[in-house]
Amino acid sequence: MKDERREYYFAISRTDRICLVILITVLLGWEYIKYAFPQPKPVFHFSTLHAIIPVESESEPLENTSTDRRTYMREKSKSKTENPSSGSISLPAEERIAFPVAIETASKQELQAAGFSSFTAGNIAKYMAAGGKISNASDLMKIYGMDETQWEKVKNNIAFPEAIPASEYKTQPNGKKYPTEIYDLNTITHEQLVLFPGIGDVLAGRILKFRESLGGFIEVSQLEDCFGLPPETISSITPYLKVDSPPMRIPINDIDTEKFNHPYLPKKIGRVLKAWKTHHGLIRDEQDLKQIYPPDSTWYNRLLPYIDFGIAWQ
Amino acid sequence: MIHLRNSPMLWVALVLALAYSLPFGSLPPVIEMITLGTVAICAILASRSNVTGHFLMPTLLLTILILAAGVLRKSQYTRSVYTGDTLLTAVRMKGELMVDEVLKRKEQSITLRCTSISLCSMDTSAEPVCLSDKFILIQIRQPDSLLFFPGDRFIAEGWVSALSPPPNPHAFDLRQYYHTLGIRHRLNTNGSQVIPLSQVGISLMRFPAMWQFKLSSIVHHYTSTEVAQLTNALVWGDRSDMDQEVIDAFALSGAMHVLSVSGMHVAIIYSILYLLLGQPGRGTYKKRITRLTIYIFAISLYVVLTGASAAVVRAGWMIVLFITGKAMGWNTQTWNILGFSACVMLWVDPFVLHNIGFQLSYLAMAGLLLCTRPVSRLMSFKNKLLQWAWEVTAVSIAAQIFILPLLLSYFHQFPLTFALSSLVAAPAGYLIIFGALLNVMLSIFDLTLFWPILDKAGAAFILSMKWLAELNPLMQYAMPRLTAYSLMLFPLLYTISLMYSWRRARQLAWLCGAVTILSLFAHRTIQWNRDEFIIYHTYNGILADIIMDGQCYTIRDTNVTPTAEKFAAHGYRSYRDIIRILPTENNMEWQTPRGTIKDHAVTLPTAGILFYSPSTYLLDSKARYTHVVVLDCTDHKKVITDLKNIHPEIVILPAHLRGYGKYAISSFAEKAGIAIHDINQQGYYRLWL
Repeated sequence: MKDERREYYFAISRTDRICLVILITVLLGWEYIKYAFPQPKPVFHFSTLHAIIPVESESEPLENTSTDRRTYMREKSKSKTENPSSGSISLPAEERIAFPVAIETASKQELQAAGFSSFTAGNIAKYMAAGGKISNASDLMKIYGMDETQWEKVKNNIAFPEAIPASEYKTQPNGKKYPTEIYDLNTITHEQLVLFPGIGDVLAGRILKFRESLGGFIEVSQLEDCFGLPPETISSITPYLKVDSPPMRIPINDIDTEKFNHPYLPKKIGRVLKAWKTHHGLIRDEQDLKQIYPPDSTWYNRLLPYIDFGIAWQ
Repeated sequence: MIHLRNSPMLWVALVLALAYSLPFGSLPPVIEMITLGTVAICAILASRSNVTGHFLMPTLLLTILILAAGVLRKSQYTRSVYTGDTLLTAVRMKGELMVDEVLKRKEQSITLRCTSISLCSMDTSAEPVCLSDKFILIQIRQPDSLLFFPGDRFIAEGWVSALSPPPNPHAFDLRQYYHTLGIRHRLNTNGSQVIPLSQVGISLMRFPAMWQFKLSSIVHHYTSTEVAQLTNALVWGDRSDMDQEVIDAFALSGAMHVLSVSGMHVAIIYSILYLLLGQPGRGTYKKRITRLTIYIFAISLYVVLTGASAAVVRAGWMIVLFITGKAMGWNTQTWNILGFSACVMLWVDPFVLHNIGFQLSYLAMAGLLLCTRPVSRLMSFKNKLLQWAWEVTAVSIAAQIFILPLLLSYFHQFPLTFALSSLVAAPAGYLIIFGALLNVMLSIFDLTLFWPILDKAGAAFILSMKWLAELNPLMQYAMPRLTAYSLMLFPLLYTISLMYSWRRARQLAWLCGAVTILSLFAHRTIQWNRDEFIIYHTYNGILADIIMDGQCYTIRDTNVTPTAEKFAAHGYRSYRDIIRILPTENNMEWQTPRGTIKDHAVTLPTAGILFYSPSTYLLDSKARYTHVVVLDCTDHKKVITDLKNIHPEIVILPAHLRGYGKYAISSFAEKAGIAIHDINQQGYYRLWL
């Protein structure tokens, strides 16, 4: 091709050039602005996993056919939640609440109106009714179901009572006396447990139930695995506890591991153990157990002290 | 005539595509700063009134500018989508997710592309591992009544792992496909471990998806299942619940483009609007603007309603720009519009370049624009019906010219009946789209009179496609990359040479043609002369392929269904140009030209492969096995004893072997100096025979 034709085909006018340069600069600039100011990601806390319950929307469904998603959701949530009060509660207009609400005296409905979820509001109300103290945001975050998202919602709507310095406490806040001796965790009774700081009827019951399901403790630090025991409570009661008596062991070769319930034996592992026994016969020793999937998880270390291989090795 | 003066956006799109094809992902900060500097310098120089030097200098500067901008954009996009490292092992995770796109919706499973809001490991004893990638693939088995739309939020718990590599060296690599969607990891879970939340995230696609579902429900209500599936695929692009049999019929007959909502569908919608509203550029200014608004609204609605796939977005953009130009009296160059739509899509999502739908759509459009007229002029008929039939066929041929290499490379198939199927599909598609839209609108007023007609028309359409599919011989083709490129360049260069009277381009085109034939010939010769044994794992069990003299003998685990076998082995066999496949059950005896398959063993001149199971194996002192595939390790002591007697060169351990038996065999093999190949860890095993 000659130069004139090449110029005709491949040269670009100045207007086009400037337009293209502006277009690319703007597009690229916009990308860098977006990069410099990223959108905040929705905050999510693990404690909400337990708290979140499907809540039915107040609005009318779009369609009344059985294939409609909202109908599905309604049926599903109905079948899942027997308790009708588990959904969100909206207050009538005439019962509007003046904010901030005093967290110490607020009812569940008032707490919900302040922005707490139904679950968290219920927990706070129960906690306060049981004599609990919430004197600041840090205390509030310890409530089961509370998370940062809810805190952002409620922080302007609630008021805390004036804090009392810890040094002013001479006995436990509920008037109980501190225990005077060290108890064996595997033989301790409910009455003895409630004497400990931070332990009430509910937590004592939980500890005993956990001990029963475990078959006994091996060390005091296992209390960390007990549901709902706050870390500070554990650290405060640990000096008064010890483990002397041995736990009950699981005769792994005699039981149906699939149906057997133990806090340290996940259902899936139970099934795998059963399948393994079906294929290979008995689980003879630790080495056999180590071969069982999944090798990278921690179930093995926790479960091993409880295992009784239970056969005379022939 | 295409040149930079009338189609600058086409050039921008091509340079952007080139930039995205470069093997750069996320750039290091230093390189990014240098690239940014290059952009700035090129921008300043290119916008000056007098650029010194050759007349091509401004074009060159702008090309560098776009190239650098493209590299930066890809880098940024990669960084925003893949924010963390790939997981090396499967991790049990739990967290909140938001549905971004529903990829597949079946009774037994739902596949979703989700935005990860917070997904972290559940092992409290160790440092939590959180998934930081923007998107994740969620596969929910047994979803029961769960139904998802974009924007839905839910909590899920399951195993998160990186997408697995293909099971054999030439199987389709799903990772490439999911890469175009920005996905590297998947979470497998079941319906009972998913908790839908009442909160709904912001998603533009939410309401169109809900409407799509609602419209699909209406069609399902009035027509038979098969026709409803076809209509929903054809009209709303909802192919999520379609039977594989119907999909195969359309694929084999060459009318697959009808099922995937594409430019053809947008063109049909445009033609319906054209019939109803009239020409976009006719009438007074007010009328034109009103008509244009309705056109744009209707087409945009259709694009969004059909899921905004690459092909539809391309066609939507092109038609909207075209009618805007017509209504406003602007000069609209088709190539410039095509380039503009490509630019927009590429800038928004750089990964879309590797999307097969995107590539097919643009190449088919290029073929239509370049080749339709020359092809249709090859013949003419006085009979109007024949002339119409020829024009439809010419359009089909023109589109196929450019997409042929892609079809052969990706799908290994080229339906020979594509022209015939186009003759049926074009009017049938029009009829069904028009009929479905009309019926749905009438259904609002409780007029259901015409649904039976649509049902019958749909059934006849499916029947004709099944009949055409049977006419095609079962053939699978393989095409190496060099052949695909040269085959694609051949018509392109030839057309350019005609357009610009450029003789050198024609010579280059012929050169490409020669390279195509030579490379294809060389590829076929090499592959047919290389015999191999390959063993790999599907989801159901192991498969072993022995390829000798251009034939493939398959030994499959009894758990592997023929469908799974076909899916797993498809790419592999296509790569080898092998047409004949002979599945061999465990107890079959079979004689190959150079060996035998008997008693769970393959005896070849260079190797003896034993498919070993302790319950069925009987010691044969004469047999000599170099490879032993251990199918069962329930009695590992017997396995070890037999391995001592056989003493093979290598022991192959399939992925389903677990537990102590596997460990014992591995330990023994290690001590005895026998090599081990663990398919679970090392992938497929290949042996050149």
